[in-house]
Amino acid sequence: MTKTTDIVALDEWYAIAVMADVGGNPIRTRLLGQDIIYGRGPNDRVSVHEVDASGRPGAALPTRERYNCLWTSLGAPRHEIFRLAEAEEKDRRVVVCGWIKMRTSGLRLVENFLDMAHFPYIHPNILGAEPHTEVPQYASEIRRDVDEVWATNCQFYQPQIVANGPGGMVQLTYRVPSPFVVMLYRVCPSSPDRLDVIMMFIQPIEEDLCRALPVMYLIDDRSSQIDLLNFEQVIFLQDRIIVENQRPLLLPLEPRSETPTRADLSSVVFRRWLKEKGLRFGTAEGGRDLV
Amino acid sequence: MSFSGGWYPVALSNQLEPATSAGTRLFDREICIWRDSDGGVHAWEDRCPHRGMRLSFGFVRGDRIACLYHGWQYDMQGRCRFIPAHPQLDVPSTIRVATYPCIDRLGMVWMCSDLKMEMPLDLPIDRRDIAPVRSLYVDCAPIATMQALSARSECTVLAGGALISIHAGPQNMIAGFQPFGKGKTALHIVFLGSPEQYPGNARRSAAVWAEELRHDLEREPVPDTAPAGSYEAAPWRS
Amino acid sequence: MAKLTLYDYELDDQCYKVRLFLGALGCLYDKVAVDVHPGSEHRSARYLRLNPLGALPILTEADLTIYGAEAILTYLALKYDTARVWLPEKPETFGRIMQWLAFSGSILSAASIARAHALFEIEADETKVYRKARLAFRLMEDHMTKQQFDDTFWFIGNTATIVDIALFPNIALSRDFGVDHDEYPALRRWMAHVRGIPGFITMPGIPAYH
Repeated sequence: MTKTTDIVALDEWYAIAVMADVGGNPIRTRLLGQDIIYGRGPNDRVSVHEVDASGRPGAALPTRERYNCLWTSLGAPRHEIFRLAEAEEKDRRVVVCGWIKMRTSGLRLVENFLDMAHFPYIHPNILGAEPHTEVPQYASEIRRDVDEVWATNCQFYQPQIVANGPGGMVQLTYRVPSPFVVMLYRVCPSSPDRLDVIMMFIQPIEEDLCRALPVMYLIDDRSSQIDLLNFEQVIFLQDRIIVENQRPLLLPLEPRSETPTRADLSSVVFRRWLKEKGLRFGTAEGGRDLV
Repeated sequence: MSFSGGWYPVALSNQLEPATSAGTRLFDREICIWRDSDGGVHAWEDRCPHRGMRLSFGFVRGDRIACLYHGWQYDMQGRCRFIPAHPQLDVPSTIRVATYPCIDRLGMVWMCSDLKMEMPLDLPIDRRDIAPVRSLYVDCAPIATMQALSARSECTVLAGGALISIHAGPQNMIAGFQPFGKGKTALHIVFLGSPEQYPGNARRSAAVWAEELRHDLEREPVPDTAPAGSYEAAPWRS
Repeated sequence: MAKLTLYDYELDDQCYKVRLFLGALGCLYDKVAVDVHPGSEHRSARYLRLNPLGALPILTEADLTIYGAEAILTYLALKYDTARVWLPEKPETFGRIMQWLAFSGSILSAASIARAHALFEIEADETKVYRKARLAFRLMEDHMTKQQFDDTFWFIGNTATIVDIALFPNIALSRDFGVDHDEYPALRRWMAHVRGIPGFITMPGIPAYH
């Protein structure tokens, strides 16, 4: 496909690579239908370029290095990349989980991340377990001052809050700082006055194809890096079979095309926010046919 | 896309065991077929109305199928009966999955391609003693497959194209014809007779015959002359 | 008894073959998690010393190091299945088991490549590996179709063997690279039986609810 004409999508920041993987060898990838190439120049400067129709590097794109990732935009972002205060704390463990490609709209992935009701079925005995399937009422809103979607006071029963420990209700807060970034704050099991942060950065490749990268900022001095990595990757791959088999793959914004319940409040608010923004890329209403 | 309504076989009955579900396609439409614990068969739109998840990935418990994603349970009429996220909720009767008429006949699971049409399944053969051979999935367009089969001396087209009578050597078989999708056709092959009449070795040699048929059909792809997406243009559905 | 150690990656279909069999045998073992993605730790000097091919799974027990799923299944069957049900000694059966293990290690490995390509963007000739994987699944479907005429639900004979263990993961995980199970009704029935093996475990991509 070719570069989207969706201005709203073009003007956002996107993580496209883990900084450790940005080296002297230029790497080609695709963002919003546009082929791009990135790498580190002779003076160690990182650059991202569009690849033009003849296959040669074209226009240079803006770059940022944030949260262990290289970010870029195909448009003119009207704001900086969101801020995560926890990332500035020195005692945080950072776990960068590795990109996984998925045949679906990145927006479906965001909604799946916001969803708690699937825990007992898709992540049984990890994030949920029958018969504890109820989603207690929570709040969700568009925060106008920062233009973000939040879901607060979320609770769900998890069979093991810490490894081999007893089950109980976990407290979660969800935040969507931009259409293709989603994160959750979870009360840290080992220090209850602080919050672990799990983020997911999505690189929308095409309307129905994306790659996603979980990045965690944790308070945890006991678990091994590989165990933390494995845990998150298992969860992530259990979700993949779902998001690749939703129909349509593109996210419907028309309220009547799916059937939300109270448990889906954050999804309802997310879709309303996307609609207000006028985002079309990756939605069933679609940027594909519009020029 | 619309096409003329009609009954099509979508599986061999013995390959859809009680309390299981499977996905298939009819004219490239994704279909969920499932069999309840009492043996009843169901063909539904392969999509949970909640979040669009394919129901063929779901799980059958008793007389209900549950969506894999959130465990929403649907009764045999396609009506949602239980939403685990809200266990106390009296589920509104409007939450439903689109269901197609579906029936077991001639050792095959048949579905009507039209959601609303109530026409009965009218087959020229009515037998209860059936020895199933196999379902054969061929990478060959339905129209091309039908043309190639019609041209073979051992095949006779019956029931407006839904069934093909096959006389291969000493064997008399019937194949149900499923227009799976643009480049794919499924044939559901059975013997008209009891499994005692057609024991394992007879069915084994029929299965080998079917593999060779598939090989022939895929080796010389007949160009699909119908305009893309217009299955209703198939000559046998006139 | 010397301790079994499996060098393992949770998302790897070949490692899953071994975990599945260890589960079926009820063997206790230590698992060493290897950072395959994104770390490529399996190609580090440490792991190349254990397997110069730079691949998992690797099994160690006392002085023995053995790698490759099919080889490990064979070793475990001979060592820990004293009743010889998973790897019968009868020449006709043994020969057919070797035939399908070779199938698992050759043409069917296209399915592993296709999956790694779809998940981790491992370079592959997509058209070629998909075609090869689908051909492998079709051969398995043809075989299991005929097995049903002998009233058996297993690949060889009337009981589960290491062939059922070796062949299950690739087809069970085929949706990970966009290949549905629609065209494989005999394999669907067989997979339901494999799920019924005592000690069966799932992995991500094979839903627990079914």
